[in-house]
Amino acid sequence: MIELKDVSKKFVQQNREIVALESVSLKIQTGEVVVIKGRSGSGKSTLLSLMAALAKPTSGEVIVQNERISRLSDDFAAAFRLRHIGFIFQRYNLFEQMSVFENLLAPLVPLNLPAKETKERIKRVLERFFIEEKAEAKVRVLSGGEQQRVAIARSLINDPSVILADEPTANLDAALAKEFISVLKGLKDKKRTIVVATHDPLFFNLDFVDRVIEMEGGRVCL
Amino acid sequence: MNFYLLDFAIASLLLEKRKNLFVFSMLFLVVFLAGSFLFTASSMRQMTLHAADALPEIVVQKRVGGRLYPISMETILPIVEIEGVASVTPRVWGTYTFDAQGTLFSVVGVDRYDYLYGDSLASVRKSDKIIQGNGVAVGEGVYRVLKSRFFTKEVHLLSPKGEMLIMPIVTVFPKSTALFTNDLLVMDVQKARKVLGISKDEASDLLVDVPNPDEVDTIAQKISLLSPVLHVRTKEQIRTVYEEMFDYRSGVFLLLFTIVLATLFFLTSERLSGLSHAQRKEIAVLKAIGWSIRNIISVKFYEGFFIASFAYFGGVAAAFFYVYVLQAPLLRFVFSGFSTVRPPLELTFFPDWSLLLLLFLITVPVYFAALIIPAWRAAVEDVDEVLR
Amino acid sequence: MLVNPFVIANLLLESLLLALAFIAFVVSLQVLMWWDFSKNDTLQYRLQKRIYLVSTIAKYILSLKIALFLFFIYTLDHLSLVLHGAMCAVGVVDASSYGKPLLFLKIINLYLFAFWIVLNEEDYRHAELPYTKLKSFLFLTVYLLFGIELFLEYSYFADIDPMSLVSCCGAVFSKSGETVLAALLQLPNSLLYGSFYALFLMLAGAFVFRLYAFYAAFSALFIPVALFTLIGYFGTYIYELPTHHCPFCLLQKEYGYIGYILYTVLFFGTFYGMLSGFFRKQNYLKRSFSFLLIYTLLVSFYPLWYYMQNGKWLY
Ligand SMILES: Nc1ncnc2c1ncn2[C@@H]1O[C@H](COP(=O)(O)OP(=O)(O)OP(=O)(O)O)[C@@H](O)[C@H]1O
Ligand SMILES: [Mg+2]
Repeated sequence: MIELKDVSKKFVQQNREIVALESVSLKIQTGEVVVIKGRSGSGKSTLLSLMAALAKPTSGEVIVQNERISRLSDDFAAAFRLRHIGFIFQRYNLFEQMSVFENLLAPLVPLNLPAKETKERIKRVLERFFIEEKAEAKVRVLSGGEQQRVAIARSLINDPSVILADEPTANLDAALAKEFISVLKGLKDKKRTIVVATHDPLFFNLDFVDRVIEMEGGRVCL
Repeated sequence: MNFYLLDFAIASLLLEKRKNLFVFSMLFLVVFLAGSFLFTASSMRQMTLHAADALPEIVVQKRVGGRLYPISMETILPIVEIEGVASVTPRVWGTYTFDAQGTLFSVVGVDRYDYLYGDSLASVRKSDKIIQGNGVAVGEGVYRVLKSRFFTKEVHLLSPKGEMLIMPIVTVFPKSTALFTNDLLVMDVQKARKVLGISKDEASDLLVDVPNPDEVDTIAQKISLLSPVLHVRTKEQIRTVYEEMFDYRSGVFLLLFTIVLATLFFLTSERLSGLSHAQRKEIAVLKAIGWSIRNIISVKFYEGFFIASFAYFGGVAAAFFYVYVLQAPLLRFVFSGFSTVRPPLELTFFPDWSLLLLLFLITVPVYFAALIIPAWRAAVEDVDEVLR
Repeated sequence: MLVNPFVIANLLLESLLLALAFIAFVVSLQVLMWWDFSKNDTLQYRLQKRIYLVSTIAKYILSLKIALFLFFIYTLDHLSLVLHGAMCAVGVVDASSYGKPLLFLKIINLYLFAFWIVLNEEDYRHAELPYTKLKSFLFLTVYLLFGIELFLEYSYFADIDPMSLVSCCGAVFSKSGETVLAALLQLPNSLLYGSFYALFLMLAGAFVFRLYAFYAAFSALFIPVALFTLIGYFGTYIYELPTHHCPFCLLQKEYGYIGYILYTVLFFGTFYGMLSGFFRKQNYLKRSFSFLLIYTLLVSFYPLWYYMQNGKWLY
């Protein structure tokens, strides 16, 4: 479950205060799929980074999986992300010059698991997303579809309970976007909580989306 | 130790090849510079100390007002009478100014019974050629100077009284003894007296042989009590003076070297501070997938560790090559001066591990210190950029 | 003034560390003034980031300081070759009146820095960073002590006259004389090793019954007792000479550098011991006791070995 209580986030830039979020209160149940839409600059990404404990609210509380993440030190926030959050970015944000294996290794590094288990986990997601034979290939030589599968595999490798996606289909052709949506549907069936921030209309009338929330100027429209 | 972190460190090093290559070369160069200096100094020091081993236990000179004078033969008697002294030998030697440029030779007088100049002169001592033939044995450096003036068979020397002495060259010391013999002219003691202007009842200094090393200090003290003009030095004192001289030079070098270290610090720190867009993005993604600030700082240190070990060992190897294989061209002048006849001695390796430790401590920590702030900056950078 | 590459390197590195520590000092001051974890403003946010700089700097300083401490001892040993009359580092320490306070302060600072690092780790182990103010305060103290240490070090090396004659360990650690040390050395042997083993038994008792406070106090007490008995009793068996009372010669090659091992083990044993009193963690208690057990076994080995070899005690 994700709960935001009267959350505000302000930035100070060149002595000017920018209000990115203003008293946002929101509750997302476990297993729910929520799409957040809104114009550019309306505060979608800021909302996601608060849910992922990547940033702290200026005021208010953020509670995810019963943890008050707005109150965590950096080590704990990182550990929380590691355990609970799977992030999928716009344009994947893979490490292009590294191999698929190394990309998948990245979320496992802070866990410092025994070598055997680390390899085991990587092998499992490689198989699940049909990219075993590409394990040693550099990401930059992969096709768009393969890159997408690596990005999803990377965000799911620690089996997170919450999946956050920021503009996941912004640069995808129709076929890839469809494929991504089918992955989301699969996750929904596994009772994962999913939050997608997007202005891609593709998401607005999907049958498995429970709610579409609209944001404007840092507020949630009701 | 997290090996995956190391793996990641290497991968992200490759992300910024040019920047990291620059940082590596800086550290490498600094290690090489300091290493070359320290190795040369240490090698020279060890060789000098080695040479000092051949010295007699006690040397007595006459010194008035800070200047040396020939010592009277009459001084020998009271010294021999001191208990514990086995023998006293007068020595005749001195410097001879060869030409208007001020080229200096060391003139040493020997006689048949001479045995106290150390092993280096063993070959000369055995053959009586010098004395019988009224000839001289010359060092490698002396011979070179003479040859350049077209004297290949004999030496022409002018005594203080204006008398010209012509002596045939009977032998040139082998190169391997250059440390001791390079600027030497060895001749019969009577001839040496003439060249140096030392009369028959005087000597340059006296060598005192003391068989029991424990008694050396007390005997030295007793000798200096004989007369206020007597200047007494023990072998131990001379060794300490040598040690101090090299320590002093290396110390001064290190003081000057702080400027290089400061440059290393600022250039490295400056180079590492500017984060490229790719690096920024990498760090932000890492944080989003669960890395903490401390993980990122660690990975930066692992990167540094990697660069530092390569630069350090590479620099040490290069310094070794420069000093012991190439024989430290240019640098050796710092120690031997620019005099034309100073020894072209062979630098040989003496293992001294504390030197490697010293070299490590004066270079690598400076590099890591320069790394701290950029690493921290990168790690605490806000991440929202990549999420847009 | 001694101009010597080892001396210069020591001073250079310590100065570098102090300069870095200054940054951490400033941040610690800011934290002390403004830290409030319950607030969420920009200032707190910034401070939370800055304390990572402090901990990185402190870790760097500690790891170098451990190496530098050993290097300092090594430097003293090296200087004993240069100074007339010195046989080992004792004479060098004694060559200036700054020597003893400097050495003492160096050891204190080593304990404090190590304590700081552990406190820092404990702090990160809690989501609300409960020790941040405490560790910042501690850092201020450590910084000032470190400053004094560096000042003493400069004065010490500046004060040594390379030409003067210094004393050797035989003179400094002799039974005659009117120093406290001499008086302690005159105590009968049985009292020396008796008190050592008695203290160790008490430590073992406190360990078995998990009496944290007692254990910590005993470990603190263990430092002077271990040192005195090492100088007065166990050391003589290492040298196999009843009159040789020196804590430094055992750092030399002739005795297999055993001193470096003994002092390192003693340091960690007592350090974790005192720590267990502060944090009440079994982990620290166990670590401490293992180190102190190793120390006790090591020093006990020498007299026993001597007895087995010669069939009698040294004196
Ligand atoms: N680090 C920052 N510093 C200053 N202002 C910021 C920062 N991050 C976000 N903002 C501002 O906060 C507001 C909300 O930004 P946010 O990125 O959440 O919008 P968004 O809805 O994700 O927009 P888009 O659809 O373009 O991605 C914007 O006005 C943005 O300029
Ligand atoms: Mg956005």
